[in-house]
Amino acid sequence: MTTLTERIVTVADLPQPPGEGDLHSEPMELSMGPQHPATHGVLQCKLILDGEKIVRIDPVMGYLHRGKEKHAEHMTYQQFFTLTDRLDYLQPLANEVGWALTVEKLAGIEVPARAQAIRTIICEFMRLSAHLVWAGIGGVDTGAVSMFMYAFRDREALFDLLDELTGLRTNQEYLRIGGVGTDLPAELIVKMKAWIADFPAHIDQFELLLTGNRIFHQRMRGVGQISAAQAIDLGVTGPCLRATGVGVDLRRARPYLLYPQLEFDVPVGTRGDAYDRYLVRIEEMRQSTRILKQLLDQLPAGDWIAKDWKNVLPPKGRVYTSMEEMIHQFKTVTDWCPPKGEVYQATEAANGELGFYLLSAGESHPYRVKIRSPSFINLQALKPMAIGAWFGDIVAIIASLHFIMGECDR
Amino acid sequence: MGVEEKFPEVVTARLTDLVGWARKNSLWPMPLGLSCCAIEMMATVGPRFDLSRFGAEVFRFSPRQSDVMIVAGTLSWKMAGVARRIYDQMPDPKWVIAMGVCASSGGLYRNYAVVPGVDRIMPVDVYTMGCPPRPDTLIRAVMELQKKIAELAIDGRRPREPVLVQ
Amino acid sequence: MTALGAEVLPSTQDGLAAFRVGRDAWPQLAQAMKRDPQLAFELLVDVAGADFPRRRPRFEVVYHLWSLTFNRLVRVKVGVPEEDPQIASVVELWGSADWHERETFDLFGIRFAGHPDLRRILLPDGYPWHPLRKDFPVEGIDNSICYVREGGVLMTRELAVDRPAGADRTPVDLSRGDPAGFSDGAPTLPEEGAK
Repeated sequence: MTTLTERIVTVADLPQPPGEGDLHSEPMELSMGPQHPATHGVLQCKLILDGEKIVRIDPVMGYLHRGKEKHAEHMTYQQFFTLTDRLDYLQPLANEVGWALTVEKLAGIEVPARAQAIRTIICEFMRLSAHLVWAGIGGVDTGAVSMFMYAFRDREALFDLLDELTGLRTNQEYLRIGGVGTDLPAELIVKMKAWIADFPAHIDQFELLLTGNRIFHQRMRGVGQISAAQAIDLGVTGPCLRATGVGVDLRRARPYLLYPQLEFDVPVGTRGDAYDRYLVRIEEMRQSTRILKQLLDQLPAGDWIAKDWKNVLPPKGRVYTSMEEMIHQFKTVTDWCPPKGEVYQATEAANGELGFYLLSAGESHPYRVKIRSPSFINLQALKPMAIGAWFGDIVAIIASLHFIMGECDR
Repeated sequence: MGVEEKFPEVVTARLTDLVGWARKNSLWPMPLGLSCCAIEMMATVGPRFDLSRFGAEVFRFSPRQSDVMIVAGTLSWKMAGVARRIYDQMPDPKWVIAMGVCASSGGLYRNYAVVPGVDRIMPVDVYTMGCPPRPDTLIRAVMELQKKIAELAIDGRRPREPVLVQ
Repeated sequence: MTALGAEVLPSTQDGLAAFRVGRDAWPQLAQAMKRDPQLAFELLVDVAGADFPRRRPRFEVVYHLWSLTFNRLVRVKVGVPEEDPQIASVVELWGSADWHERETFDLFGIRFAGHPDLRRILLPDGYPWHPLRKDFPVEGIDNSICYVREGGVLMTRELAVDRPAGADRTPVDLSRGDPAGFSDGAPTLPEEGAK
């Protein structure tokens, strides 16, 4: 026990404020996540801070590792659509397109023009859906909570369209090998056109809220800057790469679906900071509406699934009425075996290059599937972006990088 | 405008009922947003579905300030220890909603990485079906939970049997 | 590329140029692919492991490289034997190889010599198996192992659920730090008194 004594403290007794240069603090270890509102899921960042400066950062992932690549080796090709949906769950159908293209390339299945157009349409809708969530959450992370409400208002309207097309809001499992599950009905095209006609005005609203907003500008401009060379070295793709000024877009570089016939611009940034990444994504939304408009205006007529019943699931209606189709359905479901071989097929997902590397041993299930997930690779750029930044900036950096842990951890 | 017009000035009620009534209408969820379901959980608080109509929109990312944990998504074994720790940090009385099939049973993922249902590591009060459940389903789960809470004893003892929302 | 010991593989369905190279010749080839202006593969797209239990060598590491200059994508395969699952790291050449290689190590147990920080990335530290090997069952072997950590049980599978409130906390000893292993492999701070 110490006895308490009264003591009068004068100014001279107080520790002197440090002069320039000798302000020193101990490095502090801080764990951010895996349960943290700004880490977009279950990312953990182990940080070492010197005062408020980030000295080291070690992202730890795997909290959402669900063993999809292992599962794929025990599933049929059609079944694996269920798991690709849940990769980047903001854009389930775009992941499905990637997988479908991979398998079709392996088996050499020709997809009819209408099915390709429908796929391109849903790819772009998914890009919008993913960017809308990104805008909403990015807004919340940087202090603009109303942005969340605006973005989700539009996303709900978009979900209504997809709900009508596929029957589900998310994780639709709408694609089939060789085509799509159902046709795009004419009345839905009208609704989609109406939505697209409205949407650019809504993007203007977002821009009104954020682009010129001083708080947003100060939080994003100059934060998390990387150079083009650094981004290429780290394998960064998608909007994060384009923000550094490299105009690489797989829709142009390694075209797939109907993209070669479509008119659209690839927006690029100049500085490669968080604000540029924001601008690129906003512009991509505009370009997506442009693509959608072109596609919906001249949707080719024809089949929405290849009539190659040896390889493709026949439509359900015919399975119940025709003996032949029933046999085909049975054979396709139980033992459809694509040829031996290997395929790497990449698509431009909302976050970058989503690639599937598929090794087939000629069995009914894949021998090995490697998912090249853009979120996983882009997340590596967190290190150069965050080191030297203020602790508060890491939220803006994560928001602008935008990764989905389901895709990152697979 | 509200309650005060409908009731006389003095009401007699069992304390249990009053506390239960207050508890059930001011749920503060702790969103354990793990995967796909987290997006639908966000949609539930979004403008269309608006969970605040049920008094449960104050999402607190700090377990110390919340009383219902919504486990939204697939729980991996790696995450399980963290999830349990968050659950332990929540003050009593506390409830758990297992949102979606992954949280309820492991769902699609019967493999080395995924916990076959969060009830392996924490007690669950409401199970929700769907992959992911629609926001309506989550709202229904919250309503079912409210029913349970209204019946709760004042010391927070948990009614034993969980509810399944389809 | 053939001059550096790469063997041209027959073209597959995707029509990519594919090469196979020996484990010893790979570092030199990688160097050339990155640095030679005629090749200029600036972007390492993907590193995938593959397990062929009946083949010798058993493992294969498949690299996909992309030249932005020429817009060319190639595939390079390097065999890795089971007895000595080791291959040269290419982190020096492509920064993105860092996590790719950690992932391949995690899931296949292939070691990358020269990698600055080779540890598990998706599965918890101390996980004893490499799940993408063909001899690992998809259901896992003992999944609760993720929790049982040395020096104290953090969480066990037997942790009962239907215990009365409060009682279910007893088996959990969280005094040992972060369940996810905060202190494992993390950058360490200098010890007290070491400065």
